[in-house]
Amino acid sequence: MHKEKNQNKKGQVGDTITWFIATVAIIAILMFFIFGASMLGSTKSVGKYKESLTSRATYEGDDVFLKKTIFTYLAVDGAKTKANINKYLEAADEEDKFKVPAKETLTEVRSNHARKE
Amino acid sequence: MSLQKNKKGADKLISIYWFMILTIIAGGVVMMVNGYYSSPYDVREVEGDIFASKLANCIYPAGTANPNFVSVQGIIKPEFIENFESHCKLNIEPEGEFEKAQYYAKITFYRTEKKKSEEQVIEIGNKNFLVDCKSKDTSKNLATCVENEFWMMFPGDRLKFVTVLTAIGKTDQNA
Repeated sequence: MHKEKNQNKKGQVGDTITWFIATVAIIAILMFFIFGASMLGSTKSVGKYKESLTSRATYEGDDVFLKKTIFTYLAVDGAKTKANINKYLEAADEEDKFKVPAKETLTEVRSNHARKE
Repeated sequence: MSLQKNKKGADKLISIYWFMILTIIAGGVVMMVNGYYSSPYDVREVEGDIFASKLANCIYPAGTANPNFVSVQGIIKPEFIENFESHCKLNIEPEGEFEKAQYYAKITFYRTEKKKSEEQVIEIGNKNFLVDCKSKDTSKNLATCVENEFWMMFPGDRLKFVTVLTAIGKTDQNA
């Protein structure tokens, strides 16, 4: 009888340890995910998207500054000055300074310009 | 009989345990969602871009220099610079009495795109942010700076290369 009680007690202790470890594991996993979520939350930034989202192939917006330069390019008279701006446009386009391709925008603005005239 | 009672007691205890675990997990999920969504989106880069385009549109709308900004002789009017904010319909003043301005803009006019010699500079807002713009550190505790450039034609067919540097502070809201 005494031996049976002792065995029961051992079993209970074993069970308790198992449940205790399981609880600790659950809490640890939860803490890890809570920390991860807050870390991910703090890096939220609009403007720094994945390359695939901001690439020129998918971008549907406009570049105000590129258009201003193109308007200047079209308005200017001297061949030398025109060549200078064109050189700048090509160099800046290569450096990906514009949100949209300069050549295509130039063609688009030029055709709109000609249509208006 | 005694064994059956024991089993009932153990079942009750386990039910309480599971209820506690459920509560802890539910609390954890709430904390995760709160932790992710409570932190603000940093929109300063986009804001800086919008601010810069507003400034550019003010001085050079639709490919011609603003006549209120530049005289027929191609000289930038000092009166326009003095009241730049009101002329360009900008409101960059801080809301509170003891708060500092959260915006800064510097428009620089150069002769060429090589940016060798500054011909004229217009500055508005909190000049302290200029230091943040020169820093290579990308910490959220610093202002976010955006620089844009374009060619501008002044009256008399004189060309100027213009750079528009904008800085948005708002570090308290984003850090």
